[in-house]
Amino acid sequence: MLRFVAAAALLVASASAACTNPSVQASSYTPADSQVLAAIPFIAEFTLSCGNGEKPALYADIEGSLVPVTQSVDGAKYQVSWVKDVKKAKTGDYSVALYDSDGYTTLRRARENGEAANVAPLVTVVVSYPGSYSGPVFNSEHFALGLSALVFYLAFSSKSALLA
Amino acid sequence: MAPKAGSKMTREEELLLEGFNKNVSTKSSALFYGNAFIVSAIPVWLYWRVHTVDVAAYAIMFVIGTLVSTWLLAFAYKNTKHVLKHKLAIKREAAVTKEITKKLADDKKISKKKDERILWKKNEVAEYEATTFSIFYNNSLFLAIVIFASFYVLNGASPTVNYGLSIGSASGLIALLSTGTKS
Repeated sequence: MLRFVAAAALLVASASAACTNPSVQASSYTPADSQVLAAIPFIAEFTLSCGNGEKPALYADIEGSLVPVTQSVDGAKYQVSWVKDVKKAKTGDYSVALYDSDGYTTLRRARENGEAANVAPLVTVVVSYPGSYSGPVFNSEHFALGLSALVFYLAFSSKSALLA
Repeated sequence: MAPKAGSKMTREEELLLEGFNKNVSTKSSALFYGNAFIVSAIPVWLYWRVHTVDVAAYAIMFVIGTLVSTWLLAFAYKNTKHVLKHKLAIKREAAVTKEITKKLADDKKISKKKDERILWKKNEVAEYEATTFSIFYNNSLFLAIVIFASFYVLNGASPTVNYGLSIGSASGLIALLSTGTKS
């Protein structure tokens, strides 16, 4: 009897660990200037409000791999981030699917078995990367050097012709 | 052609000597030093605006650098001009002779001094052309070396090293090259 009650309680507990009516408020960051950067960081911070007040642990699907999402101590804020090489980072919107622990387990198992996963994410956040400034296209010192070298070459050839 | 002891040299000899004389007239000297000063002062602006060096903090260095470079540049101008003047005089002789002859063809009285006039005019033309070309040549080399040294070779160095070495090497090199007799 006790074991049944305990099992039932556990079942109820795990059922209520799922987030109902999730709503997310997210803000994202990508650098605007990449002159001194080797890689672009993509950072998404969000708060998740659940109908039942849960603060579940989340997992994010970043380019095919599932990573745990950092959660603040009081569980109110989440942060997910990744980096990509400056040259390989494409502009546009990056959709990050977020799964709770059940979804994560299911998805991971499906992927390990090589099956197509049909797990719907709990929520999705979007990080938009409009591009970043990577430095001047045209280096004025190259131009200055080229011009001065050309002028000197003209002067030198005239001098040689004169003194010939 | 050598004058007897104590006799006055003819105008022709005077002009010839002037041509071989390395000393420059006051006007020429002023032109050289003025030009050299302006060209030496230009890199200071470059360091201030492009390399973002605090001028007030490094004022003494800039002043000394400008003065040294002015002197070396003027020295180079003089030497280069001297080397060029002879060759230019030879090259322009035909043209000057033609011009003077045409001008004095009608006047029989002055034709006696024609040779003197030709020599004088040739001297003047060669002097002017050599001066301007010397300034142009040395300026272009100086600025090319300064740009190359300060932006490429000494790019990461401290302002003192950057300015000192690029200005010093540019003006020093030019002064050195100008003393070459074979060109």
